[in-house]
Amino acid sequence: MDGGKVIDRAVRAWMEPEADVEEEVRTFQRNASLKVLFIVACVVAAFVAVGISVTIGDYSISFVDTYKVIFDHLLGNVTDSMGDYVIFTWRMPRILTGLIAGAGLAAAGCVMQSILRNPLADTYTTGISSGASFGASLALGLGISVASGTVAVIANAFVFSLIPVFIIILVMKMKGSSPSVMIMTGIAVMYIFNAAATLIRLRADSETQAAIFAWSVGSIDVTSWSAPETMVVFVIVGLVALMLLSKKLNVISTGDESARSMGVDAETIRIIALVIISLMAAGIVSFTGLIGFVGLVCPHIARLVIGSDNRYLIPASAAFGSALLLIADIIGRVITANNDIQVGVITAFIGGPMFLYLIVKSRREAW
Amino acid sequence: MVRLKVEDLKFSHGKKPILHGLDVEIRDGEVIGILGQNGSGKTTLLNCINTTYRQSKGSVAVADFSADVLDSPRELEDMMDIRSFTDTERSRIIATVEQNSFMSFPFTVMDTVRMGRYSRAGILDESDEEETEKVLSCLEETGILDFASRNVSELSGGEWRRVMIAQALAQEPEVLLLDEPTLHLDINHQFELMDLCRRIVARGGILVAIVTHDLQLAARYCDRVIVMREGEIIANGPAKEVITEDMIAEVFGMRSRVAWDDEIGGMSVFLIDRIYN
Repeated sequence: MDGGKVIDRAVRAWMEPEADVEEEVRTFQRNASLKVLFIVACVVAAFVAVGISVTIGDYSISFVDTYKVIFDHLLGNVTDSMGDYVIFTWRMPRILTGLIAGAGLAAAGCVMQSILRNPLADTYTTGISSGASFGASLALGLGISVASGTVAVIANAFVFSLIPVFIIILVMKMKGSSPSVMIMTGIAVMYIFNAAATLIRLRADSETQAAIFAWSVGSIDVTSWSAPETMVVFVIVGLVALMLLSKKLNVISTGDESARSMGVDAETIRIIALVIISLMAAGIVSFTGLIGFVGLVCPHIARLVIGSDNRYLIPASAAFGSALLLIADIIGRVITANNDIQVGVITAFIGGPMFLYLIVKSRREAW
Repeated sequence: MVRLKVEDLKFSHGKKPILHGLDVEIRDGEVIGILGQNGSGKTTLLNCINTTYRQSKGSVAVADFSADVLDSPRELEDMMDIRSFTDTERSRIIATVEQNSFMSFPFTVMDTVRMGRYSRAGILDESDEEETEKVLSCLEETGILDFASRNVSELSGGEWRRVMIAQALAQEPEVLLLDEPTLHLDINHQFELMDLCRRIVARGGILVAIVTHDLQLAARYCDRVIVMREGEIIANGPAKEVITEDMIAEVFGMRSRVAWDDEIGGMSVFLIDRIYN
């Protein structure tokens, strides 16, 4: 800034003391509308991805027609009955599973990072993944499950995925609910469950081993409506609950003592949020298996674009997670003919480089 | 006219006693300095007052605070124990600026200060003009309006400290507790911050307690000074009576020259040397 400008600025500040304030407020409001724009862009991307995803398969439907069939169906006015049958019996469950799982995992990861004040946290940090794996291994390998029939694996994964969280809450009751207590307890429980799951896998025949492996990689390849119908309940209830907590989650970011000074009991909020996240993640993971990466990276990418305000970050992460998971699934199905690549692998391949790019390009220091 | 009264306050970390029955009273419009060496219990005293440490024994009570801090109207006693308030009620009375605080994720300065409004504004959002006005006035008062839309992770230590103070002011507290607020600030900003404290109490309806190691600033800006040693208050009185060469020698083990200075209109403290024995 040269001398003249400094003087100009000083004179202006003196003449119109309100000018700076207004500018700051305007910048702030502009930032707020940017945040909404990002969320809208993600929703549009997800919407387009739905259309593309529906076209994939042996029965051919054009991109534009897919929306027509979908809207006809929603309005109860089916004109293309074959298209309607193919889309709503075979293709839609998978697509909805992807949308719901992506939204739930990303939002859960976002809140987990907030409550643990740790950028490396994700949905699985507190051992949900290891509990679910153990539950699934138990059902697939030894046939032991809390339920029987077709839901044996799902129910077992769900129940066991919640055990680590109960242990963590017990430990937090004894030792206080600091982020490090949570993370360390989560890791301890994870090792125990992983060891037990490995033991089951070692004794299983190769076919069962393959089934357990396939489960653990995670996929949204479902063909029944029961998966998305159940998941959507967990995810919507979870998202609403997390949104209600979002202001408190912001306050917690300043540290437990500061939060306390501002009237928020960080320890209680942490436990409440943990229970919500766990139920939401368990509801997803028990159907899809372990889809990694979405919960870790989507919140970060969203945070780099729109900042850390949880009131925007939770919906933005959810919208971005939905879009990313569905796009990853499309790519996985397009690049190989019949042998689909598991969606978790693709999310890592797209999300990883995208994340690296943002880390390098981002001008502001995000962590 | 708010008053804060601490009576026979005791606190132990496990078996180790930290505070041995403290009695202090702080009145509206006062800036009180809490001095003492490391480990003398200064920060513990603040943490007992703001109920970070709940298991303290004895009483910490406030009187004559404004009634609008209460969530539900109820019968008020003369002195209300601070532990009888809910978290949100308490946070409308007491605000604390911690010694070490950091933001784990990047929020803008504006968002960070707005968090201080949590207990007052509840679910209101940025579209509320009156709320925005209040946040802006806190930013202005602490001189951080210029970087309101900057990210807190880009701030210097001193700027961050001012953000934390703005956040505490946004709570509209009647008791403001500052734990070494001048730490990491350059000399100019140290004086600016102490001026700010004086400005705040001059408006009335608030008292300020400052834990500090800076004898010079305490002598100059505090109405009253408390000196702590090993969990006890060994001196409590007007700064010019308490901060003496003898006290500095006894408590801090430093030789000093303390004199009235007409130009600054207060005591000036000059530290000479450590006392070796």
